[in-house]
Amino acid sequence: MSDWVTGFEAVVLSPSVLVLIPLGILLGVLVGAIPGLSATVGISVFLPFTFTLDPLPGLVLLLGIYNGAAYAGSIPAILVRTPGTPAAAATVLDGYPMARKGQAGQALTISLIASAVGGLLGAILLSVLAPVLAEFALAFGPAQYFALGVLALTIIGSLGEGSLAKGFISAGLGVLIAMVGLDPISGFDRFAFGSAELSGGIQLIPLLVGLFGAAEALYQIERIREGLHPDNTGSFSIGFRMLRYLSPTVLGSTLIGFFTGVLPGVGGDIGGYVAYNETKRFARGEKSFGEGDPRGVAAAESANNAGQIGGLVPTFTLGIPGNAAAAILIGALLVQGLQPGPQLFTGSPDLVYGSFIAIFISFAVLLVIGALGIRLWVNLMEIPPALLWPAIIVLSIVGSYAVRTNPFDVFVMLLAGILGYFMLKRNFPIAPLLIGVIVGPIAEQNYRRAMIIAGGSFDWMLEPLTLILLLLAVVSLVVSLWSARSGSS
Amino acid sequence: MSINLGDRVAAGLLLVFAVGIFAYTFTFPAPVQPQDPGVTAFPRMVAVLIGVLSVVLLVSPREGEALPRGRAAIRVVITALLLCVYAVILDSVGFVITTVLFLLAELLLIEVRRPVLLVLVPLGVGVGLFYLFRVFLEVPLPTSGLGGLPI
Repeated sequence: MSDWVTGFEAVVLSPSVLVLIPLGILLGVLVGAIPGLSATVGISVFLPFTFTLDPLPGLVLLLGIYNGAAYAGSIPAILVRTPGTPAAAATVLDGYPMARKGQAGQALTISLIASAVGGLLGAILLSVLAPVLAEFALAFGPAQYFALGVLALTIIGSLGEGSLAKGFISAGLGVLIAMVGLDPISGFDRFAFGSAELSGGIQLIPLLVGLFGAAEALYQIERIREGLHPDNTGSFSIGFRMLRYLSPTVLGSTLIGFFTGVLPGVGGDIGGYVAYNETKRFARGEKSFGEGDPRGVAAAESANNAGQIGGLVPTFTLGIPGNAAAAILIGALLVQGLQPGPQLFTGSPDLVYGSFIAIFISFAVLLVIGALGIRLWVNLMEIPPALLWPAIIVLSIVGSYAVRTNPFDVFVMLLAGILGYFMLKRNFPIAPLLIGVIVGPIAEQNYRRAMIIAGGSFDWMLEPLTLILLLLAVVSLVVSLWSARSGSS
Repeated sequence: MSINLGDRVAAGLLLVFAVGIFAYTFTFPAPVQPQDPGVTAFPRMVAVLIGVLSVVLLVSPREGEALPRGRAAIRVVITALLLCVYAVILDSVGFVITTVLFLLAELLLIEVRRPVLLVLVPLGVGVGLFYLFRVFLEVPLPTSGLGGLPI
């Protein structure tokens, strides 16, 4: 309980935190409402603004963007059939048909309420589960961390869009990139080729800013277009009866979204689809889904927001990112000299519990800001991309330079941007690469430690928890191979 | 380039890369402790994984987008080149001048022609970000020192 008090004091006694929560939400809504600017891109380009802030205000700003974008991705999804973020893809299915029927305003209101409620309930689940899991994880040794790393890499490699081979190649490239530089166990310089810069390792921030910010900018500059002009939105008001009608869908989808999001590497992207399909299946016989059923919008939006929060569970408790955007949050904490994982709960309770409280506040703020500005957000899509993307490139440069004020990092960002551009073109998912960069070293170092402790024997793999985690990794791999085969046939 | 050829080219490059990484690990030293799998174990495992999967991709390529042609290709290539120049001259020419020149070139490249935008966007973003970082966030962005100006 005292940890919650510490967190509460850290939030309410800090004017900067209280200012940065609504600012983060506003930036998040801006980011989410513009197609192409996902939460991941948004967090990566705004990350450098947090370098000189204290850890809690910095994290709160990024969490605001994370949560605001998860909601606002639905705005272009509903209005112009273009999801603002990947997580809003399932919202298109019934959101756009509602807009075609002249009910865009109502769909936007449902999306806002479902997002805020999904996020708030997700925050409750996070607050209950994360401390318990963190305490449990305190007992984890090298064997368990290795198995967790393998599980995370298996899930992220197999769940991305595109082919299974591309997902795993992407994850493998990430693991290799993380190997550049001094090896932490024996101090050998791997893949540095005599370069002092490479010997220090590839910095995470320039890499991810390039992979997400610059790559997306190059991709969008290729197809530069006019701003989008949505049609008339109609009325925004929905009645109490509609809210009551949607509540079971929101509750069920929140649970589905949250627990899907807890799986490392999944986040809200998949949760939205799973919850949408389950809602549709539950209402069997009804043909309204896909033709503008408000339950479709409520299911997708509550699930993707809850899924984003679910993604914070492994991020905070194990240091294993729940999704690509959460991987950037890990990068932000590392820049501040903090290592996410169970020790963070005992070492920095103000940061952990302060963040949880800030997440609660941010969804309440989202509801207010979202409702007040709902007509304004519609116009964000009209921002001409020709002015937006060059500015994103400049922010990517500043972000990569500002970490160490070193031009070498700008080159890293540029190369990562070019790599990311080709990956986007050939449908290689980028998220597995980023997760590979973070999880790869965890898996390798703990594998070597476990082997050294066990005197060169593999017996440690038979410890119950390690074995269960490794078996889960095998099951995940078999299931994804099987579904890939049945999908292609 | 046909729709599937892109994946075959990528797979070929990845295969060469994986073989190269595997071969390079033979230059790594043996572990000091005999129980330690050493610095070679993981890179080899990952190289084998990438190598095998690139063969899978080579024989069963998927559809993807073709590389851009014409003006779209010029926009992407020149943007990447401008970024290279940006990274090279940033430290010596300073953030504000480099950024203003980069944005001006980039906006012209993507066919923004309104003079007011060509002036206001580069200056606004360049000067605005410079002061935001330098003054408020205390991140020292490089200056040119031209004419004694703090930019």
